[in-house]
Amino acid sequence: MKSCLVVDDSRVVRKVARRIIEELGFLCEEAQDGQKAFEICTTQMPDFMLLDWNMPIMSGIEFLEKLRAMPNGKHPQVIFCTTENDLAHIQRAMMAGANEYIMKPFDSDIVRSKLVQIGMLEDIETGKIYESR
Amino acid sequence: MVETPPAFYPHCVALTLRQKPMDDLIPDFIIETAEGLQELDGDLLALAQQPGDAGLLASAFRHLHTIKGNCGFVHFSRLQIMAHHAENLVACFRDEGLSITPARVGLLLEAIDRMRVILAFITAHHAEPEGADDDLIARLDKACAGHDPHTSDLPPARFIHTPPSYNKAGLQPISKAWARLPYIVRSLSAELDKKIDLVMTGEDTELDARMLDLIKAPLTHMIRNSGDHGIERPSERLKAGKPETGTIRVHAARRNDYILLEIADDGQGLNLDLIRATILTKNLASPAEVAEMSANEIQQFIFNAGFSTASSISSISGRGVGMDVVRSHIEDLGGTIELVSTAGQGATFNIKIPCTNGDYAQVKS
Repeated sequence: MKSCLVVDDSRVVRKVARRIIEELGFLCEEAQDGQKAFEICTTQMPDFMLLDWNMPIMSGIEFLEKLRAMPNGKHPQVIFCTTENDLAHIQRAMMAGANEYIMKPFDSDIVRSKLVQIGMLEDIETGKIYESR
Repeated sequence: MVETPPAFYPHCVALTLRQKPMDDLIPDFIIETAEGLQELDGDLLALAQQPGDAGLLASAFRHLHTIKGNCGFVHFSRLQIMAHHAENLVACFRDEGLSITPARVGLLLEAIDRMRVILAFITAHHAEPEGADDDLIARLDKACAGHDPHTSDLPPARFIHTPPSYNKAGLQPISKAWARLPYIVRSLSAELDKKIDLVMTGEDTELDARMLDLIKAPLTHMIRNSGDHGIERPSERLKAGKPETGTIRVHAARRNDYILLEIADDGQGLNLDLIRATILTKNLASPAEVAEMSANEIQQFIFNAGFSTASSISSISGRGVGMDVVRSHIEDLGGTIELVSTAGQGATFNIKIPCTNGDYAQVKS
């Protein structure tokens, strides 16, 4: 089973994300800031992650740069999560190695379609089963 | 109540239409937002004293940003819009070099208090209260545009306290909830072009740390109410034979397990004719009943649900938030509020709240 790491300083967002991720059939881990996420990645590299931008201790972008420099740090697909007024940041996140981005608030349909785009899920329309199951 | 968010959140509109509300998120949302507002308070008071501190600015921005973002998931658009405009002002400090003045800090504290009032309603009803915050939003936007008539005035030093340390259990002096009031008064006098003196006594009175945080919003609203509707303009005061500068007195005392709070102004008092007219227009009592009522009975009507209107004496300058909301906030804390007003001499609000309130911290569900 593939695993996802949700990195966000908000419990509310982590709870929403976990529910969606688990419903889609993935394992889910949580980190509340970039530093915690980094520690998790040193022991267990996830297959993909939902990464917030604005966090205390270590921001999303700082973490992303550190992650991509790690051994095996290119493995996880990173979906960068943003709100409507940091559109300018999306480009910087993509430059730093994010694979995709989603806007908050996201829902199950949005997350699912992004996961299809990055190849974590098969397209439900084609009738194929999810890759993770 | 799920309101349709305005057009500047186009993606929210789409989500509202097809996403099921996640009601079980609301308790988490309430706790996280309350914590965020509490930390914002500390950040802003510290910023007022260290305006150059990038860490404090980043922290204030992040808390507002998180509140705004989370609102999207639970569809609380009123709170979301308030957080959005407050965040903009903090972004102006951070990115555009807008100076951090006491009046601007006071304005942000008011925005935070408005969010507290909305959150208190959400805590009780799992829905947002009716109403709008156009007044406060307009002021926040104006501040972003650089409007600040009293840029160089600092509040008197005697009011400046060290920022409160939060999340500590046990009793704390009420002065920790008062550190913000001079900024509120500063923002208010700049906005209304009135001269207002703030006198605070009994600041060593202690109450539970949680209660301390919960009374901040009602206190701000009382102060705003006194400044906006009580204290007259300097010229009117002179005409009435009063000193040009009005005074708002805040006094605290402990009696057994209760804290007595008094917020008194030396302004014009309540307009009884206007209240009577509103009672009749809103059908809250019959003309015969109104004729029988004493002045004091008439005055208490400003606490009635739905009493406030944009033009009424109870609108607390925040058109969406009336005295009914303040009363329900105080009652949620296990307290009571009463009003005594004398025409031409001023009005006094008497609030009585328990010094501890263990139950309130547990979110009702």
